[in-house]
Amino acid sequence: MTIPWMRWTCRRLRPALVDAAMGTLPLGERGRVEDHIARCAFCRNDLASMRHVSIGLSAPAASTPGEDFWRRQRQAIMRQVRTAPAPAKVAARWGSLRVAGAVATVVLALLVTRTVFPPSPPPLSRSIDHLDDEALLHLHDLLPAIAPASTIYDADSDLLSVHDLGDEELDRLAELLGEQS
Amino acid sequence: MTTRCLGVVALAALLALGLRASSAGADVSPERDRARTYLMLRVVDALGLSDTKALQMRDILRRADERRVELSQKRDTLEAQLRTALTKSPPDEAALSRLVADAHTVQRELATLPEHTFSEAQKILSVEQQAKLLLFRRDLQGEVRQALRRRAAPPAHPTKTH
Repeated sequence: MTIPWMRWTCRRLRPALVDAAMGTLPLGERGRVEDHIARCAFCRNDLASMRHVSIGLSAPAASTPGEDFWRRQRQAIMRQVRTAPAPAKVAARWGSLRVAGAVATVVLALLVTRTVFPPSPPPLSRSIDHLDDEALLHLHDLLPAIAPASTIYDADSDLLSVHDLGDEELDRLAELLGEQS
Repeated sequence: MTTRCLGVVALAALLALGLRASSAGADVSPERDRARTYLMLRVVDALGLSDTKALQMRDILRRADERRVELSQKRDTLEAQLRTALTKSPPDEAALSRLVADAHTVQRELATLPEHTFSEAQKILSVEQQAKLLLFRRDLQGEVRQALRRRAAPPAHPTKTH
């Protein structure tokens, strides 16, 4: 059990304990430190611990690796350097990622735009075949407002008239033609 | 070339909007609307009309179409009345005479409508554009009739193998 006033002494003697553990404590200090250690179990234990560490630190290091170790180390590093991707490729990859990101952003913007603002119907094609049946019939009905019947090709008109005949009318026409021939 | 195409597309969109807006109150069916828009597209293309001329031409064609619809309805009504009048025996000659005069007037107006339309167009078109319009309306009529015939034709039967 350590009495409180000795705790203050412990803190004050801490640097001297380190020197004692390392074996560098001046001779004039030894008496005072040894008296304290004799009375203080904490400092005595600390000094023992510090001496253990100092012994470990002062022990000779592990055997220095030989030239063969360093040669193999260099070769391993060079292999890593060779197999690593070239900086340009890395840059290209980042570049393509940026392009992909930009494209994705544009597509997203288009999707949002088309959702918020529905696209208007595409402009009409000039080819008459692109007109639906209903619109074509309306166009046929509309044309006489701008083009007289006399502008219709004669042959075309005759052919269409025949097509317009019903079955009975066609039969009668065939009979009539037969009588004339 | 690209600029011209874009211009034509923009003009067609403008005309379509204009036709839609102008026909909103006239109770025009969407099919009729598409037919009018297509006609305007072709007219603008064939005659090389400027924006201003295209808008003027659009009004002329719209009025002509509306007049034709109106006259056609009158003609149908008068023809029905004529048929009804002819079923009476003896027919009411005075009433029949009025119907004949009215029906004849309507048919004459229908027949002269294209020339009236062309006269209206002449006021805003150059001589070159008038010439193109004369050729165009005939060409378009042929295209329409051929397209109708193609769609009316029955599908070709596969060749029978014995």
